[in-house]
Amino acid sequence: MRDITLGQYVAGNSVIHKLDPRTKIAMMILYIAMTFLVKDIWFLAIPFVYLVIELVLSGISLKYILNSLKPIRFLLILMFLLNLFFTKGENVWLDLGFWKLTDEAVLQSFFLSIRIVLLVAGASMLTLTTSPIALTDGLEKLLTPLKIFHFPAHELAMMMTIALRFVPTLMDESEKIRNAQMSRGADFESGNIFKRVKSMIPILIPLFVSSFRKADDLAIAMESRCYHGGDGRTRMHQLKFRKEDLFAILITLLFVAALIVILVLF
Amino acid sequence: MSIVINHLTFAYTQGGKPLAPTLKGLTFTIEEGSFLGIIGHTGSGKSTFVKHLNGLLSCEKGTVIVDGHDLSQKSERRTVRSLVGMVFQYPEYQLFAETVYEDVAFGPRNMKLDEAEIKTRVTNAMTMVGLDPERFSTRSPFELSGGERRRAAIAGVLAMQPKYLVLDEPMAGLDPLGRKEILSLLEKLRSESGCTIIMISHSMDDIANHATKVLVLEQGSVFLYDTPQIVFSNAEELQRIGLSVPSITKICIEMNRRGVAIPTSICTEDAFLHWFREGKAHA
Amino acid sequence: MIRFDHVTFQYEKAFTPALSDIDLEIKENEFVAIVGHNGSGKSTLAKHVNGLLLPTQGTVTVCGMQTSDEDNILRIRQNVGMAFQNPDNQLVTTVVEEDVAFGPENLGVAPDEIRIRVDDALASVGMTDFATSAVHHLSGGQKQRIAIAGILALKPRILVLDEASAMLDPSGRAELLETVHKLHREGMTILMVTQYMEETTGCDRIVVMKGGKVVLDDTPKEVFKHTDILMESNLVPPETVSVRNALRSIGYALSDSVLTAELLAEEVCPLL
Repeated sequence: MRDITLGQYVAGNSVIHKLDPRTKIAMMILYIAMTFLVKDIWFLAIPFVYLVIELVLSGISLKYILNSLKPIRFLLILMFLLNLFFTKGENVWLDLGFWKLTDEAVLQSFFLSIRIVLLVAGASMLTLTTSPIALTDGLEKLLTPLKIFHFPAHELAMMMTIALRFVPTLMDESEKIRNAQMSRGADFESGNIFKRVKSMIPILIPLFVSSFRKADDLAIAMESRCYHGGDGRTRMHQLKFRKEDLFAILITLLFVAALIVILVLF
Repeated sequence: MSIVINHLTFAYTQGGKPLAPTLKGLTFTIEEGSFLGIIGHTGSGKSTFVKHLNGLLSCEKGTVIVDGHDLSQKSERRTVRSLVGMVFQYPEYQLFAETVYEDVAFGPRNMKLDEAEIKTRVTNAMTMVGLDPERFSTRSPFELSGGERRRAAIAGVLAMQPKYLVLDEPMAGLDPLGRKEILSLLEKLRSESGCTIIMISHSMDDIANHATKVLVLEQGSVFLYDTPQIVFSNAEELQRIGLSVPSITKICIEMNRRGVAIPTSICTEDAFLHWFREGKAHA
Repeated sequence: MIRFDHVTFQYEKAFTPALSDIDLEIKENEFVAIVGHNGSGKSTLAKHVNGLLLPTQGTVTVCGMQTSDEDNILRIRQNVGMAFQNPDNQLVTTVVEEDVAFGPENLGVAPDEIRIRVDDALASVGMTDFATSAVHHLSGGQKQRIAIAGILALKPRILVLDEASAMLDPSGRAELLETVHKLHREGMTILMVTQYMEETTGCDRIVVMKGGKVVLDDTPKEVFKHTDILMESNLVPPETVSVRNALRSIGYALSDSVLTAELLAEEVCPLL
C-alpha cells in the first residue's frame, strides 16, 4: 500500500519543481490533449520527447515513473492482449486457423499501450514535481472564477488539503486495527469473496468511528484557530506567475502546434 | 512452559528493501507466571518485539517458541494466537460490534467454540474487568465512558482465556483511577488464573510496583533483563539511554548524594518505608 | 485576564450540569493547572475560555470581552490559543510550516507578515529545522510543539492546554512541558488542564475540580497538603508527596514545600 507513487511528491529544486502549479496543470492538460490527438504510433514520439525533456529537467529518477506504472501493469497487459487478439487486419504474420496475428493488431496493441503509459507517466510528472499543497492551491486558484456560479472552490481545496493530511494517519490506523483483530483470531485471508468482505467489517467500523472522531476534533481545532471559511483568508505562499512559467507554457504550445502541423501535413 | 526467544532479529522493509534492523538478536526467556515489564524509549523496538509474540510479525532470523509452538511455522500461528492475548495501545479503538457482548465474543467465535462456552467466557471476562454482564451486555460499546470502553476491549482479549497477556501501554490516556483499575485487574488475573503478564509501560513507578522482571530495550537490543531492584539500581546507565527511574529510586539517589547510604535498589514505597523503620540502623 | 462569573453549563442531553456555579479569576502571566478526574468538568471549563462552549448561566470574560457576544469571538480566539489532546487530530495540513501558517491565514494577515510569524513561532518551540517536514513523520511530542507553534503564530496572550500531554510518552511530555514553561517566562498566561499531578508542581496555582465544582484553588504547596481532598477527587498526588506524607506519619517532620525528590532528600537526610 505504501509504495503507490501516483500522488506522491518527490521534493526537489529543479526548474520544473519551481513552476507555478497552475502552469503545471495547464501543461499536463495540453500534454494529455497531445497524446489524444495522435492517431498513429510513430507520432507518439512527440509527446514522448516532451515527457523526456520534462523528466530530465525535473531531475526525477526514472524509477519513480516506472513505479507509477506498476499499479496498471495488469491492465496494460490485458489491453495489449485483447487488442492483439481482436484487432482485424490484412497483413497476416501468423495464421493459427482460429486466429490470425496481423500487422495492424501488433501496431494497435503497441499504440494503445504506449499511449496509456505516456498518459500515466505524464500525470505522475505533475504529482511527482508538485507538492499536494501546491497542487491544491493551484486548483483552488484555477477554479476561483467559477465562484460566480456558486462553485465551492475554497471548500473543495480545503477538503483536499485535509484528505491529504489524513491519508497516512488513517493508513496507520487501519494497520493497527487489523493487527488487533488478527490477534483476536480474525482471518482476513481465507474464504470466498463474500466471506472476505464480511471479515473486513471489524476493521471498517472502527475506522469509520475513528474518522468521525478525527473530523470532530479537527473541526474544533480549526475553529479555535480562527477558521471561518474562505472569506478574507490570505495565504503565506502566494502563487506567482513568473517568466519561467510563460516560457514553459510557450514551449508546450509549440509542441502542440508542431503536432497539429504534422498531423495536418501527413 | 514459557516463551523462549532466541536470536530474534527483525527489519522492516520499505519498497522491497530492508531498513536498518529494529530488533537485533534478542535472546531471553519469559517464564510462565511472571509479570514482565518492558521499558525503552519510543523507537527502541518494544512494540515491534511484542508483535512477534503471536506471529503478527515473523522473524527472518531467530526463533520465538511459545509453549513449544515454533512461530516460524505458519500453521502454529493460529494456535499461538489463542495462547497469547494482545492488548494494543488504545484498545478501545478496535471495538466494532453492536453490543458489548458481541464484541467480547468476537475472539471466542473465531476460536470456533460452541455457544454455551462462548457465553460463559464472555460473562466471565466482563465480570473480570468490572463490567456487570447484566447491565452492559446489550449496550453499544460506543456509548460507554472512556474507561469502560478500555475495559470492554480488554475483556474481548480475556475472553480468549490467554495464558500470556501482552499489553502495550494499557493505561495510556486514562485518569489516575482508571490506571489503578487496570493495574489491579492485571494483578488479579495473575494471582487467580496464573496468567503471565507482559506489559510495555512508560511509567517506571508502575513497573517498580508490579513487575517481577524488567526488560530494558535499547536500539533493538536487550540492554538489561533482571528484577526491578537490579534494573533500577543502574540509574546512571538508564539515564544515559534517556530513561528515568521510579520516583522512590530518585529519592534514594538524592539521599546517597547527601551522604546517606540507602541502597538504590529500593524502588517501591513499601521497601523505602521499611528501610526507614528497620534498615537505616545498619547504614 | 480571564474571569468566570457564576458559570454554569449543562450539555444538551445531560441530567446534571458539567459546570456548576464556577467563580474563577486568572491574572495576566499566571500559570494555572486545572486538575480533576475524567468527567470532573475540567475540559468543559477550558472550552469556555475561547468560546467553544458558552455558559448556560453566568458569564466568561476574556481580555475584557464577553465570550457570549458573537462579534467578539474571532478576537477572543486570536487572544486565546488552544491545544488539544490528540496530536494527530489538530494539525490541518501536510507540511509543518503550512500548518503553522493556518491561523494567521484565517485572520487575513499579509503574506510577508505570516512568513515572519511562522519563522518566529517555529523558533520559539525549537522546531525550525522541521519547517518543511511532513507532519506525519513527526513524533507525538513534536506534533504537539507544532500545534503550539500554530497557536503562537496567532500572537495570543493566553495559552490553554486541554490535556495536551495525555497521549505523549515521557520524553514528549517533558518536551511539551519545557516549551510551556518557556512561554510562561516570556509573559504568556497559561491554563493547563492535566491528569498528571507531577506536571503541576512547577505551576503558580492549581485548581482542583470535582463534579463540576472547584474544590481546591491554591499554590501547589498548599494543595498537596490536602491529600484527603485529592484522594476524594480521584486524584493521586505525585509519588514524592505520598512518600512525604508516609514519612511524616512515622515521625519525620517534613515541610509542605517538599514536592520533589531533591527537596525530600534535603530535608530528610539531616533528620537521620
